[in-house]
Amino acid sequence: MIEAIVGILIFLGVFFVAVGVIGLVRFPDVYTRAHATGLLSTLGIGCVLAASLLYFNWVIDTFSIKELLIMAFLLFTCPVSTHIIIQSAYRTKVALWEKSVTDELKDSASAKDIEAGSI
Amino acid sequence: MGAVTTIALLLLGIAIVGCLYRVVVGPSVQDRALALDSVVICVMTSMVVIAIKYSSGFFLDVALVTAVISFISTIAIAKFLIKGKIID
Repeated sequence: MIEAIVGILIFLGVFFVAVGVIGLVRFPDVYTRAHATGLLSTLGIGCVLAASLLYFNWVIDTFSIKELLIMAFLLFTCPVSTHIIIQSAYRTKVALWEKSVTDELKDSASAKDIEAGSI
Repeated sequence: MGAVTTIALLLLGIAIVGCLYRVVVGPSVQDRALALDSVVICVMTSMVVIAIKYSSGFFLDVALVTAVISFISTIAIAKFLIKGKIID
């Protein structure tokens, strides 16, 4: 029974990874591709880590808690790295998609901070 | 667990090939950095699947170290693209 849940969770995680990579290949500009990789780095590896937690603790009866450590580390670091890559894209003036509706950062007060060069 | 993990590893390999397409094609440097970050996350996922496949907890250590190296290298690339130098 638990082995079936482990298999389903592995395939769910691989499914989310596949959806994220399809988004990374097909989306039109770098700002929308960042959304796809966000799906990949939280839900994709999260489901596989949950499967690993179930497998090591209840199927083969060993004690394993490193999955929680990996998941906590990823939940802190993946938004930071995605945010700083997108900020570097905006500051080096990578163009938005031509059908983009709005650019709120362009007319706001924080645009002066970006021009001044303070992160 | 044998067949499930083998098929999952096969699909993860195809996902890494898709990320490498974006690394080669991607118009800006940030696209390439984002795609390489995705490659590292696919490698971490396949390390966890390999840990389930061989019932060995040591591959989880490999995944953790890969996560740390990925975070530091991504921050270094982005800071180099913003400021032109990494350590100031």
